Amino acid sequence: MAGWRADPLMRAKPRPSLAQTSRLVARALGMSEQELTQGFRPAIWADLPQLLALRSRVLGDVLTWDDRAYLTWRYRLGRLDQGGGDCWVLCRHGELLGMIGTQDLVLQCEGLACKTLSLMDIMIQPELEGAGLGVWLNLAIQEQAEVTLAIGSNPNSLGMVRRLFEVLPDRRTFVHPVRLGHSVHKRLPVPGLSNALAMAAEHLLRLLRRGLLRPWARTVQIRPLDFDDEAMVALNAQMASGPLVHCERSSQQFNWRVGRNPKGGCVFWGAWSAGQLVGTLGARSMLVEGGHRALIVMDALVALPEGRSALRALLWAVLEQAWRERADFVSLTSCRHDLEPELRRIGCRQHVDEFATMGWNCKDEQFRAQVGAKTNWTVSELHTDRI
Amino acid sequence: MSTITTAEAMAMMAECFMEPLENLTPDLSRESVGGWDSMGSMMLIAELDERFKLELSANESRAMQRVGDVLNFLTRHGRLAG
Repeated sequence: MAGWRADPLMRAKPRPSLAQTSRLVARALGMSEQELTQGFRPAIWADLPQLLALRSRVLGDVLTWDDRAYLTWRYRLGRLDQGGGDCWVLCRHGELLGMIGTQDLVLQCEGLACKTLSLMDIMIQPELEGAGLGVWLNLAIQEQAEVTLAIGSNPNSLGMVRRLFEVLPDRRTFVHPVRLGHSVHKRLPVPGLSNALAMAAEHLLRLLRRGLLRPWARTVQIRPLDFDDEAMVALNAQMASGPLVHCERSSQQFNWRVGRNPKGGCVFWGAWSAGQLVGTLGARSMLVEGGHRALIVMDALVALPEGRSALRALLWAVLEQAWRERADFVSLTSCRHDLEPELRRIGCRQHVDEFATMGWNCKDEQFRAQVGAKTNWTVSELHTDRI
Repeated sequence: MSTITTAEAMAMMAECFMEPLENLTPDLSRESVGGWDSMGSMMLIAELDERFKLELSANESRAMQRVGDVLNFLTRHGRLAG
């Protein structure tokens, strides 16, 4: 694949500096620049009530989960050995004005590694919208870290990713249908007939998948993944030395991110060949827009091309799981363009998701040069707050 | 006191909102301008401050619903020529 380059139009105007933004935001908030800077800090446990109130105001009806459980799981909040990152807050005289969440990551590329913060959960008090606080929070957190990684998740953050970060290749979403009742009934609204047709088409599709994936699945052993297995270390080392940008996986991270996630559980498989762990894949069953049940792939880690058999075996495992759970479809979002021929081969179609934009800011010139124009990143939903 | 023409003001907004100039008209609503998000608003605030020493408050910024509202703001502050 040809080297990827950002669209030069995306840099039509230079981004504002932190100094300029600080001056304008401080003025809008009626604070001095010094007060603004001093008011920005990692959240502590005592901030929790104000954080919950802010999120309730901003998220409204979207907030359908136990947010206290979520925040105390995701962020350290001043506690050692808790959470997976810091939540940074901006306060004025003790009053919470806004927050930005981070998740600790380590990016690896051909022997080099860099501590990285993945950004998420940017929220500001609604009456302060328009003051540039969201922009300032992004710039202020960039000042704290060597590398920051952002994934656009709504129209507002999409604009910020494009302007405040170096734009990376888009993550892309591929969908494979499993149950066809909804779409057949939409085109042929005759209950008995559409059900029979959908069932026949579903079985035909499964047979096709079986033909394309099962032979490889027989050469690889698939079994539930034990996050504490030492084999994870070897697979991680293999990925880290490969020709891609790898986001380090550790048993500690898996146990926290997957094992204790209050938003729900996840099925994880390991693919084994000749006693070696050669790939992993995890998915979560979710109700999505339109009342559909989907099996969302949370993470897929396999080295290509040598792990092609493992990938096919893992895809067979997740599609069979979807079949058993009567899920409507399986969806996989990744920034692994080398996976895409395999996904297309089994009939996955690309789903347009304009918010899959990814960007980064890297102050380490050596690491930045090493990453260069690489198009394959192993960043997955493990490293976002989407699931 | 520096002033700009309407065409220059439209070009300034095209840069701030990363929107092709030919798409911008005074009647165009904020929702129709993809880049007029919080980032675009910040770029506009910074531009007005830098070029004209004008302070666009968060309330005024939020109240702007059309491209023409930015032109009106410039007119009110005597920065739009002609």
